Parts: sequence; C-alpha cells; structure tokens
Amino acid sequence: MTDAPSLHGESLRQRSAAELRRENLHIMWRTLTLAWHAYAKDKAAVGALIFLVIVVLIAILAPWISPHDPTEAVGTRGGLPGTDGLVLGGDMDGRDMLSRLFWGGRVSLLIGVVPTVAATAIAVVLGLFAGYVGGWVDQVVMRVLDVFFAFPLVLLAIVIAGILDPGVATLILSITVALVPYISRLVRTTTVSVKQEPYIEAARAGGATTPTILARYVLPNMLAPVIVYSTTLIGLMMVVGSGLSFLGLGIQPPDADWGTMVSDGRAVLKKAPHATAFPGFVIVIVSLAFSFVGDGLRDALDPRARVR
Amino acid sequence: MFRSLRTVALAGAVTVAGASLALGALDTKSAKAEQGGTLIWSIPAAMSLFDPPQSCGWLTKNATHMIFDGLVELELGKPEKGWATLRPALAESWTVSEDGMTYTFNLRKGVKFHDGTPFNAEVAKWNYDRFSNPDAPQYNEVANAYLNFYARWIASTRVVDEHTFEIVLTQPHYEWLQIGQSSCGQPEMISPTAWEIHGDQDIALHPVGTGPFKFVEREIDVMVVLERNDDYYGEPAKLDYMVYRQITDPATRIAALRAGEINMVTEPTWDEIENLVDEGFQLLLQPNVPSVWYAAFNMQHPALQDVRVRKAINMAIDREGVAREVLRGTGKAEHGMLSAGTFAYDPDYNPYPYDPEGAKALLEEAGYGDGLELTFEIFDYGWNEAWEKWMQRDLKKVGIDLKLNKLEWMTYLGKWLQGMPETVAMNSMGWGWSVPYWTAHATRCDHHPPNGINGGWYCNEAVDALYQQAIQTKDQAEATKLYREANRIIMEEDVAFVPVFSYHNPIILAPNVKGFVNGQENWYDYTLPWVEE
Amino acid sequence: MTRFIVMRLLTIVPIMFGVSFFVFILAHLAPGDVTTTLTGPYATEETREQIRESLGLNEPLPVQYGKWLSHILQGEFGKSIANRRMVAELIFPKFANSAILALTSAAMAYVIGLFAGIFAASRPYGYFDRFTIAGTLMFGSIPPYWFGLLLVLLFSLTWRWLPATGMTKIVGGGGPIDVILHLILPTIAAGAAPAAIIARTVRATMLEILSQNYIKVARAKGIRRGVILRKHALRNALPPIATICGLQLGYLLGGVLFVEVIFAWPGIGYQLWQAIQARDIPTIQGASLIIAVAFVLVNLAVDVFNAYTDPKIRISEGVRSR
Repeated sequence: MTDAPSLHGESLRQRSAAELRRENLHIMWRTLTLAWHAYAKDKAAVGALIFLVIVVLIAILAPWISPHDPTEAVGTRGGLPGTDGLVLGGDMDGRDMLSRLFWGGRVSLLIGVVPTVAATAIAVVLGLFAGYVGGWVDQVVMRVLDVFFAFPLVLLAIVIAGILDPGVATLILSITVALVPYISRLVRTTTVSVKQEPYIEAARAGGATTPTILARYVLPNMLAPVIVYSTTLIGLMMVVGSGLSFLGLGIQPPDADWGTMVSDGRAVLKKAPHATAFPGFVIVIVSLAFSFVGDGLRDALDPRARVR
Repeated sequence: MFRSLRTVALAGAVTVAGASLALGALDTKSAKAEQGGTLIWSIPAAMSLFDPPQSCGWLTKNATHMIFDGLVELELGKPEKGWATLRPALAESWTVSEDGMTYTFNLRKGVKFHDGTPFNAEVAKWNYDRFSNPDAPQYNEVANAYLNFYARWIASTRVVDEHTFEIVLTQPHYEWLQIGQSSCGQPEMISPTAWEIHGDQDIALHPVGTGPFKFVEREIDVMVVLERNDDYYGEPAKLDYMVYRQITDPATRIAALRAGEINMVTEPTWDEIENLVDEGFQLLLQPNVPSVWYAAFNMQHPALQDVRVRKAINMAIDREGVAREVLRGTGKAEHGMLSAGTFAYDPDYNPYPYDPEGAKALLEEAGYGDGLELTFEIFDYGWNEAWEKWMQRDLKKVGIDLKLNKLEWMTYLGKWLQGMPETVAMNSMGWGWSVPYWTAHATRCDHHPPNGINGGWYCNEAVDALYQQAIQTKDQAEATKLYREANRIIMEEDVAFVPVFSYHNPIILAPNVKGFVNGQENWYDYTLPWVEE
Repeated sequence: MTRFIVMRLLTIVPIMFGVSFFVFILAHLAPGDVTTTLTGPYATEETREQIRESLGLNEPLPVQYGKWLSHILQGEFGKSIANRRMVAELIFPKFANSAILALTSAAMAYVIGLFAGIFAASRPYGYFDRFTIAGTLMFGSIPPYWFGLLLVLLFSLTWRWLPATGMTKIVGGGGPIDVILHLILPTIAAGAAPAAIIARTVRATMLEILSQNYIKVARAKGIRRGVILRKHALRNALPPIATICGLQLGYLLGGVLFVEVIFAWPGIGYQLWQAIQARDIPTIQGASLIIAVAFVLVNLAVDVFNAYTDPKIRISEGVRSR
C-alpha cells in the first residue's frame, strides 16, 4: 500500500462531505421555497393558517385585549349575548364569555398542540426505527407500544396528578403518553410499505446510507398520512383535556379552556345555550383550521403533489 | 312481573348483558289507587356494599335502610319538624336506665327476615357482636372500623330473653342511639342464616333483611332493583318496585327525566330547576338537612396561626350571596358548625356578618395588607366548584389570593384523612349527623389524623370537656346550651372553620310521583310514595 | 403466514404481562388506597393497618403482583375489593356492551369515512371535496359531551323518536329492537370523530397514490376514472387506511368514556373509570387486560389484512418468517 491513493481517497471523501452539506442545504432551501409556493396555492390552507395565527395572537395578547377579567363576575349569570354590555354574554358565573374565550385559548392551544406535536415526534422516531429496521426490533418496539395502547388514560392522569399536582403539565404528559402508540403504528405501517419501493432499493444500491435513505426517501413519503392524522388529533385533544379537567385532574378553577367551558355549560343547554355554543364553535373552527393547514402541509411537502 | 333479561339475541350471536334488567309489563295492577308503580331514581355515583355495618355513604343508605332495619330508625315522614327523631323499628320500645348507661330494647315479635329466618334477641346480639365483639366468629374488622363511632361506647350486649335485648355503655351518652342513625356504618340487622350460606364476604351480594323492600338485583355501576316486601311487619310500602339507576352526568339525568326514563332526580343543576318546575315537574326542598358545608382551617399553616387572619376570612365571605346567587334558593347561609336538622341548632347565630372592609382592616393589622396567597383543597362533587369559586372571588376583594386545588374524589379523601400539611391552608367538606355530637368528630383533640377527621389540627380541651358534658346531659335544652357554648368558642375565640351554607337537598319528581316526602336526612322513606300509571 | 399469526398470538402473553404489570404499579402509585373507603372516616389507624394486613396490601409489591399473576394464570381475575363481585362477572358483560357500541360506531365510521374520503379524493380541491371533508370534520370535532346532548335534545326530547339514556328500557324493555333503538344516538356520537379521522386519511392517502406515475400511465391509457380509483388507487392505499381503521376500532373497544357517561351506557370504559375512582385494583387490572387483548387482536387483524392485501408487505413477511 502506498500513501498517495489513501491520501487522495481521504481528501475526496472530505470534499464530497463538504459538498454534500452545501448541496443538502441548497436542496433544503429549495424544498422549503417550493413547499411554500405549493402551500400558497391552496387558498383554504392559507386562510386557515392566517386564522390560526390570529387565534394564537389573541391567546397571547389575552391579558391586554380582554374587555374584562375572565375570573371576575361582571354580568348576570348566564346572561345572553348583548346583556350587561357583554358582546357574547356571560357564563353561569356571570363572567364575560368573550374574555374567557380569549384566555381559554392559551390553555386549549397548549393542550391541543403540545401533546400532539410531542407525541408525533416521538412516534415518528419509534415508528421509523421499528418499520425500517424490521425483524425482532420491530416486534419488540411495536409490542411494547401495544402495552401502552391499553393504558387507562384516566389512571395515568391520576398518578401524574398525584405526583405533580393537577395542572396543565399533567394533561400534557398524560395525553402525550396516550397518543404515542396510535401515531407510531401509522408511521410504522407506512414505513414498511415505503421501504419496499424500488427507489429505496435503488438508493441503497447507489450507496446511500441509512440516515440518508430515511431522511430523504422514507420520511417524506410517510409524512402525508401522519400529518393528516396528527392535525386531526389536535382538535380532539382539546376536548380530551377538558374531560380530564372535569375529573379534577387538569385545569384548576377558575381558569378555563374551551373544552371545560363547553363541559361546564352543558347542564344548562336550554337556559343558556350560548355558554356551550360559543366555545364549542371555537373548538370546531380551530380544529377545522388545523386540519386544513395539515392538508396544505401535506401537499406542500409531497414532491409529487407539488408538480401537479 | 319481573323479568331478568340475562341474554338477548342481537344480530344473531351477540349477547347483551349489563343492561340485563328490564321489567316486564306490570300485570299486577293494583286495585287501590294510591298504590303501586315503579320509582326510578338516578343516583349520581356508585353505591357501597349492601351489608349495613360494612356500608358507607348517603346514597347506599337510601337502599340499605329499605332492605334492612335497625332496632330503631329515623322518622323521615314528618318533613315540617325541625329535626328528625327516633321511632321504633325492630324494637317496639326501649328504655334508658337512670344512669344513662343501660339501654333495654323490647323487640317486636313474629318478625321474619326475607329468607324466613325469625328475628329475636339472639339475632340482635349476633348482629351487634359482628361489629363490636372481636371474639365472636362473625366479627368483621371492616364493620368495626366503620362503626367505630358507635361501637366504641358499647361495654357489653346481652340477651335478656327471647324478645329483650340489652346494651350497656361505657359511660352515659344520651345521643348514642341516634348516632347509630348515620350512613357510614349502619347497625342494622342481617339474616344470620344468609350469612352462614354466603359467607362473610359474599353476604354483601345477597342482602337479606327485614325491611319494607326486598333485594332483587344489583348490576354494579348500572342499577339496583328492590321490590315491595308484602310480609313487612309495619305499614307496607306503596311502590311495587324501587329502582336506583346510576347516571353520573347531571345533564344526562335531566335529559332522562324529561324523556320519561326516570322519575326522580336529586342534585339537579340549580339553574335548571326553574325550567323544570315550569315544565310541570315537582320540586321538594328540605330546610333542615343535618349537614353543613364548610372549609376547615389548617391551624398549623404559618399565615393562619394569626387568629385575625382566620377572622378576616370569615368576615370576607358573603354567605348570603352564595345562597342567593350560587345555590339559587336550594340552600341557606350558615355561620356556625352546629348544623340545621339537629336539636342544638341556632338559626340566628351570626358572629361574622359580611364585612369586607373590616376584613381588610384586620388583615392589614396582621401584616397582610399587601396580600396573602393561600391554598384551598377541594374535591369534585359535580357542582362545578360553584361555592368555592365564590369564596375565591370574595377573598380576592380583601387581598387574599385563594388558590383552588381541585382533586379527584379518592385522591382528596386520602389526603383529607391524613390531615392538612403546612402548605395547605384550608380544605372543604360537607357533612353532619342528625345529632349535634357530629361537631365533636371534626374538632376533638383525640380526633387528629390518623385517628379521626380533625384534619385541621384544631384542639381545645375546654371544648372537648363541653362535649363530654353535653352527651351526659339528658335534658336537651341543657345540652343545647353546652353545644352552643362549644360552637361559640370554636367560631369566635379559636375561629377554626369557615362554615358556608347548608343544602336543602332539592328533589325533582315527575308529575305522577305522589306522596314522596323529603325528610330531614340525605336518605328518604321510600315506603311513602307511589307512582300513578 | 400461519406462522406469522401464531407468533403474533404468542406475543399476547408478554403484552398481557406488561399491561398488568404497569397498571399494577400505576394503581399503587395513585394517591389514596382502597382502605380509604373500606374503613370509613371514624376508623383508627390501628384498624386501618389491620385491614391493609388482611387484604394483603402490606406485602411487598412484587409479592402482591406475583399472587395476582398466579391467579390470572389459572384463569381467575379475582374478586373486586369495592363490591365483592367476581371481576370476570363484572367486566365481561360490560365489555360486551362496549363491543356492541364499538362495532356499530366503527361500522358507521368506516362507511362514512371511506365514502367521504374516496369521493373527496376523486375530485380534489373542488367544492365537493371541501364540503365533504369540512362536514365530517365538523361533526368529528364537536366535543362529544355537547354533541351527545344536542342529539338527545333533538331526537329524544324534541321529536321523541329515540330513547335518551341506557341500553334498554327499565320498565317493559328488553329485546333486540329496544337495544337497537337505544344504540342509535350513542353510535352517532361515538362514531363521529373516527369517521372524520378516517375520511381525512383516506382522502390524503388516495391523493398520494393518485399522483403516482403508474396511475398517470393508467390514465394515459384511457382507463376510466372509476376503475382507476377502485382497482389501482384504493388497493394501494389500503395499508394506512386499514391501520387507521384498526386504530379507531381499538380506540372504540377501549370504551368511549364520554359517550358512555352522557348516554349512561353500561360499558367497559365507564366501569374502568369507576374502578379507578374506587382504587379497586383487581377490577382495574381485569378491565385493562381485556381492553389490551382487544387492542392486540385488532392490531393483529390489521397486520394480517395488510400482509394479504399489500403484495410488497406479503413478500417481506414471507421472507422474514422463513
């Protein structure tokens, strides 16, 4: 063995690594701009995104833009919209519905988005790993997740609440744990399906490393159903969170989130329908918006859909 | 006719159990008009065991005191009286010796359990031994734990003759007999024959008593069905069947009532009551329910060591506002720990009229003019924390930031029984007995956890002495004075509690339910009503 | 394939072991224990200690778990501490009730979800697409305790068409027709969210497939739209769709607590919740186990289905099992 070829080989590898990085950055940037262009084409998705930005802004700015203190009785109990100068009326404790909706967004968005995103991140890692490696690793990971499937969410929340004190953290932790197995299964199934595609084999034959294959080929192809699924879950989780709060495991009175507002008002459906209708409507609209953004994202991230 | 529906063929092969109970067409139509029918009550939570001494809770007592009888029972058919008193049940009459320590019961003759076993003094002693005599083969430690408040006073029991039963107490105690009329641990008689057959554990699944109703079926967490006992020794029940159906959600209970699927609702949403009355449903209230809803101070909490802070909190709560705005007429403001529905109750007692300014001044004096943060542990009772939130708002006005810590019921109960740690300032409860001695349970020095429910660590020997004197006083007027003095010390000198309100137990009935009486307790006499078809 | 199924069925054993172990630990970690209610408020600490002793609650956790396990291996779920009923007697009927509701809800969700998803995907980005998807989503994201009550308000209280609560009528009820009538509203309430999730997943997966080259080739060859949808697209979209459908069925089989509470449906979710509230460990264990078995079987069924319908997966499983 002489020195020259090996030196030559090393520098070649170094160069190609640096180039690869540059190239990757370039591709990423191009992908992002392309994705944004694709996303911008979908008017519903853009509208939904703008709506969500506004909702988030309202939640952040709640202390400054709320007309009243959300925990203070300012009107008659269950006052209909317009009474006592309250645009959306009062709840059953005479508190301003509008201010409570503004403030409620803070908690609701948190318990809708954070567990879903966290669980999706964990699930993507687990599902990709299990699905791509396959064999007994796949079996072990998926069977362990099967164990978590059957976990009673309420029991988990009671334990966490007992250790941490009930609060938003309890909700986020318990919901995250409960969500992981669901999303993981979807990721894994899609990964297994994508793994068999000829282009993966071609890439592997071309010398692509496993991380590259996962990041460049498997992940993008698997994201479509996962994003769609996760964004649907956000709205549902806002509701699940309120269910746990109702059992005394989450949000502490007098704070409120939208789900809890609906659940508090459900016993007076006839007398004060607005007490459930407004927060319920907000949940539905925000869930819809998340779903449309999810659809837009899916299309934007899918190279083939972009071409269309 | 009763038809037990164990299996229903659905779509070929699926079996439906759980919803197993369905009453067939009632072909036993009664000739009498004021008679018969099925009363279906939606109970808001699960019932406990159907073995009286091992049973705990208001809900359960509603069924057990219909299946089983004690020596005596509460008269719950006279709702206009200020408090419920005892009346004969399995004992036709009873006498108390001059020293107040020996109780002699003349038992009713010819009474048979639902399984045919005759009732006599032997059976009475057998039942009392079950929870009070550790040497008896039927002794049950859970029963003893529940009935501790009753059994601890018993020195001995004796069969005098077939129909005479005698109990000797460890000291004179004139409230002792009525103390037994509470819901957590019930000294009522079960059939020893049934116990022999089913064993000490499973007897709870096969309740056999002497009461006006017989047990038919219990589907755990779904429903309980009782039917009239036609061989009852007393005035027989009018209803054919009594059904307790578990419906947890308040909105669902109201929906089921409106749909005609049940005909009795307790714990209605307060804001719906008016509408329901307008729709023709009946509303029954009872102003003398023996329980008070209160917050207990933690006497070991650093900020609450100062009596001025505790006083200020009492002054800052607008209790009338709670009764008017929150309870919507289903309760009234309470200012003392002696609850309504007992002989010692003083309706005019009011040491702390609503005075936020005075409260502020007191807090200022105590050095909390800049504010104070306190934690209030509460539990989920299905009332949306309505009164606790009201307290929170009232206290905010005087500069106290009250942090509500709502806990799931069992978590709460576990913590409550351990007593408050220094970090918790107050916790909440609603409780009482039909005799004033209950207050002693919440305040006596020797009732500090883990040996009792005095979780706020309150202790005053002088108060304990007053209780001791009161239970040995035969004359109720004299005893009343002692209790009121104890209450005055607790509320005005030591300021250990924030009593807030008493609840009037609103009951909503379908228009065709007749004769129902909302008695002075949290359980009712189901022999009185009937349902028109 | 048979080997694959047998292997998977065998994995149920360790899963049961895992579920019961974790649930056991959790149940013991939960604050408050069963003696809190078993002894009442007036008991002394001494009696409480005695009762813990006689219930075996003072033994080390591994010993307690071992005992429970040895019973379970003999097919005994044990006895409920809270109500003395045999756990098996308690949970199997409740599970059957939940299964009935789960199957009808899943059936509804599948039909609505598949049709809505496929139709939406067949004319993507059109009004029909938007309307269908938004419609299913709206019903899917209404909080169930509100949706359920609205259904009751309309169908039971206003129009008086359907019963509001329970599984049968209390007086004079029973029989399949009575049960079916009681099933309708809970089915709609429980099936709405799964229907929305399935519809969106079907639409997304179909769109994904429809943009593949072989579909374009097929289209270029002049094959009719409907045939492409049915024969080419749907078949290839099946794995993720089946997975989602399985997940939704599994979720429903676990007992839809909110729906069971609102309609007073005597299901396993409600039973488990009550047992948790009572810290009734044998019942919690039994109910969790039965739910776990249901999940595992549904997931297994989906995997088998996928292996049969997806030729690519079939090959790989075949290779693996050799």
